[in-house]
Amino acid sequence: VTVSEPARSGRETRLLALVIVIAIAALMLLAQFRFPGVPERPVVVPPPNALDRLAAQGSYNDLGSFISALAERLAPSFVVIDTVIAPPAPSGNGRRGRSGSSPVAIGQTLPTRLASVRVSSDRALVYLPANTRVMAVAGVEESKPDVVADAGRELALVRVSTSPEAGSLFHASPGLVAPFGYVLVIEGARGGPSTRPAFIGRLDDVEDPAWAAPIAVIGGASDVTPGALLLSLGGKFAGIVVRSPHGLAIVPPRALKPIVAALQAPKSAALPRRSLGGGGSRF
Amino acid sequence: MARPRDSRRREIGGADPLDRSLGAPAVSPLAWALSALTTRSALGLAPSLTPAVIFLPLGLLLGPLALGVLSPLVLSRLEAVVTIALSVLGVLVGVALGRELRAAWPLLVAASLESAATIAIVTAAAAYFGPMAGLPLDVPLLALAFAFGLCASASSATSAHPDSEPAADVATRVADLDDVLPIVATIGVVLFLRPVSLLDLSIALVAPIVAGLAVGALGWLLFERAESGTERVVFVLGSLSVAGGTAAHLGVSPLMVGLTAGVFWTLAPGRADRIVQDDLQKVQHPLVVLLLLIAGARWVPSMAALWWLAPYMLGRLAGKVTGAWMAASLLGRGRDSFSEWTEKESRPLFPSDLAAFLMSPGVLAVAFALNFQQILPAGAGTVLLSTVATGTAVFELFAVFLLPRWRRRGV
Repeated sequence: VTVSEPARSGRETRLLALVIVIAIAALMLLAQFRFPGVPERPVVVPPPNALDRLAAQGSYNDLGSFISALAERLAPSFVVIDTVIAPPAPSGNGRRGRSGSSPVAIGQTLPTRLASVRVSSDRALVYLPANTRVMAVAGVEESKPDVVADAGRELALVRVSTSPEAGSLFHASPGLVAPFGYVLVIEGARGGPSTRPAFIGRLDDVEDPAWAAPIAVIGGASDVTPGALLLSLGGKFAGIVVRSPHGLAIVPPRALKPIVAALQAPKSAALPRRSLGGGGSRF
Repeated sequence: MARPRDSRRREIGGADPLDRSLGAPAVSPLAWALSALTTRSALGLAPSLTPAVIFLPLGLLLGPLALGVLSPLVLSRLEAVVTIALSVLGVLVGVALGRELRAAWPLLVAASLESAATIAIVTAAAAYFGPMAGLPLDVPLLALAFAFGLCASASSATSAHPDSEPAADVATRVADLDDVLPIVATIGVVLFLRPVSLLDLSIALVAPIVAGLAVGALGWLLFERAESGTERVVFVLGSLSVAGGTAAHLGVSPLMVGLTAGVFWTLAPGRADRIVQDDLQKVQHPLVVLLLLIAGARWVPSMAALWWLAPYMLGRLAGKVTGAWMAASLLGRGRDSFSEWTEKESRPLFPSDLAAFLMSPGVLAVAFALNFQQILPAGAGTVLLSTVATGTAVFELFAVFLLPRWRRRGV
């Protein structure tokens, strides 16, 4: 269809104006929907200054830069949990030790900071040893944290601040920890998760009825502690370090996922009880 | 006055058969049926799908979120390749700029006006939308909003063949040149990120230009002295590796380093620009594909990326329309002058035609996002890349499916 130029010019001017008006109106309308995100403001990390990279750096600097970049990228997947050792409850009160701890006594002990890994947008998995309870969760203002624990395996799901990072690291393909190699260790710290490399020596796979998949027992002396989260150097989640009857062991994601699923399930459908007392208990 | 031109331009300054042919194989019954059913490009002559639509999802499939072929370790090791690829794109834009600078500088002014309008509108839209919707930010708002604006300003005009009509020819050349301003303005993102001293500012401004000139001089001295074609290719690729490596080492934009080198090779005496363009044709498409695959593999679904799509896409739509309006007004001032930049008969340049052609973002939007991912902190960089990659795919599809109808009504 041929349209005369003045007619087309006037019509398309109206068309173009209409596009702009609709775009602005739609933007203003969509801006009314609040983002369901985290309440706290993330830390602003300044970029390096220009020409910083001209300075000569040693190989340790390269290692540090690599870990720094990886830690920054993966930080949203981890939440720091403050835990305290709960003193034994007075005998004869009929309550379980952990839930019956005195607040005054708890307040007098120093908190231990552990790193937890997000398994969903608002839940994170943490190692919670016996006689320990969660005192605070970074970014959550709650006097009584929402914790579902598997006391037998010393693992717990903790409600954490909502994040767009919905456990993609935990649910992605697992990282491989090879014996006699380096891994990345994620630990809790005051300002957030901390990352460092650690050398792992001998690893022996052990079948343990408490876990759905073999766990890797760390041989020899190691500077990783129970509760530490391990990543492969490629940045994939490789497991949690726990105490086991065989010694310090790495529980791989394959063994953790059924436990997480059971802890996330409604209370009535919780994990079938096992010899180690694996039923979920909410406190 | 019509001027002879050595080649039909596509996005990023050179002949780009990939842009034209991908997804549109030689006429076969199946292709014909598909085309008849759904896809006809802006004039019904051009490709039905552009590389971004194919390779971004393919990258996602190969990436850590799916098959894991492109693992995080592989992606981090490909960082150097990304930087070199960005410098190659910068060179191609620089070569296009150098040629148009000689031949038709009003086109550069119009293209810069168009991209400036898009940058301003998208930046304003993002700066308004972010706080209003309460989006989490780990970088200064203005830095992120400006980065979105620069990514949105890229155009490819790949939805039509440049020879198909005068408007497509002009749109293609405007699309070539509208990448110049955002490449130069990349430094603005760094300035918005943190307070800088005058010395830092001077270094950040001068370093990419000095590096680009150094690489340009290096190539200029080497290319024409090569004793064989193979040796010449080695010199070209070596110069581009130096450009990328220098940019990465200095922490400056590889696009800007490449742009400066490209302009130098075009304006300097000799055939350096032709040599570079000829030799880059051998690596341009693999690099473009690699960039898109990497961008797809780095795509991370998140609520934040979804939320930022609103200001990015709506702002870009309004920005391109406004920019095209301004550019068409400038180029069409005295309608006969429109023929000055084409070899075809005089015909008015309608803003809606120009806007329709410029709606396709092409590879450079993704390239900008990859560049900013190197500059921004990890969280913001990933959100920016995911938003821009999604927006690019949507706009490419938009250009294929909707714009032909838009334009047909007006023709």
